[in-house]
Amino acid sequence: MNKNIIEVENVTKQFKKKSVLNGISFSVQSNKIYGFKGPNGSGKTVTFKTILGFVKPSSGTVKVNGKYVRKDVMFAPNTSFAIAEYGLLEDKTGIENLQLLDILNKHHKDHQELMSLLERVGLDPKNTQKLKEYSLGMKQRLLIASALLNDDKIVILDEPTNALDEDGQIFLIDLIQDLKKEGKTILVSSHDKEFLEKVADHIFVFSNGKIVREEDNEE
Amino acid sequence: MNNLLLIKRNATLFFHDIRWRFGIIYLSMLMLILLRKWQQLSVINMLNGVVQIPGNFQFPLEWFFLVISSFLIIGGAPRRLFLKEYPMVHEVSLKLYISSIMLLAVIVDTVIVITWYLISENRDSLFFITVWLVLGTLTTLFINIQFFINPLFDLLFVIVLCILTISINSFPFISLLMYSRWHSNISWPLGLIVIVVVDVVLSICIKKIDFVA
Repeated sequence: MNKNIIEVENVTKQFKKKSVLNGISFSVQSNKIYGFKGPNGSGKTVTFKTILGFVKPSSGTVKVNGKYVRKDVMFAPNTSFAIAEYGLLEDKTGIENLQLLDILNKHHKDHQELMSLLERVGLDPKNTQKLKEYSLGMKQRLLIASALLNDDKIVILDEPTNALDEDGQIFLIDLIQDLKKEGKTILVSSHDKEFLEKVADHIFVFSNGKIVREEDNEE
Repeated sequence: MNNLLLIKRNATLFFHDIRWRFGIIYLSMLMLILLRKWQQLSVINMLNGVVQIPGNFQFPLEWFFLVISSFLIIGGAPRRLFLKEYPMVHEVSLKLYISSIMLLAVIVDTVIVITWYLISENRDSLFFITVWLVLGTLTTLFINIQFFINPLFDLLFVIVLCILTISINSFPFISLLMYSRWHSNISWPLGLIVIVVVDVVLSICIKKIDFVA
């Protein structure tokens, strides 16, 4: 039986007196894919940031892998993410960016493993272009690669389909399903309904900072 | 090795952020100093500040500009470096990360003070070391505050402190930046204690911060 790996209980969040999360509660079981659907500004990204510990809830609790985030630990343990707001270094190549993150976050992938990771997300590891010369789709793929660096059990992908063409979306669906086969738990947000219905086992539908509906998609 | 890499990474981001401000403000400061030098006015004269006499208020514009130049250059770079760039490397300890930001900002102070020292004819080393220490302490406060508030308001706070220093002859600690007051019995421990206490309180509150740039 899959146990709860993330528990969000009655979380609210205000930014400058504006409510962005209004008492959301949900739990996430391990080794499943959860979709977060909703329009821009509905609270999906803030929810992810709250789970990660990048944003402190105004009230409520977030528990990840048995630890209360922002209480027991500052940030969610064993959790990786790809959120566009937290970007990579524009003056470095793809492999240089991954190398730097790998070392700073105290993990020790060798050069060959980093190159394989770039190939896995559909990027050429020998590409000497700096990130600032990448297309938006390439930047998105590199961001996803950075989320896979640590082999964490939980992977959070915020709007990963942005800037990806149809082939890119197919690659992403395959990648997410592979990650599930590896035993990972994936949280992915999108306002692309079709994409989420293809990939997610369970979907939370957001509107105005609340979960208005849940859809079970698991076969 | 990780620490050096972190500093290198943060230095790339920090100096990229401040490059235009550094160029414009540093050059303006340099031009002003050289112009004054040509007019037989030394750097020490410009850093004299003022000792206010009742009924004859004076505003030492050059002193004011020299002192705030460092803060104008640093701007909101520390805030962005922390709130936007820390999450990607959040397995690095918070203290270490913030220390690296402080170090980079103090490098800016150091470049400025060294410039003043080298151009000055009257190289009162003890005065310039004091200026460097006081500026460095103020910079740590400036950085800690802007993690919580808009950097523009933070800059305004520094400007207000400078204006208070100009207006009040015995204003603690920051008066040490004025050569005319440096030899007086300025109450530096009080000012330093206040700044250190505020810094400590802010560093405790940092765990409540939202990493949203």
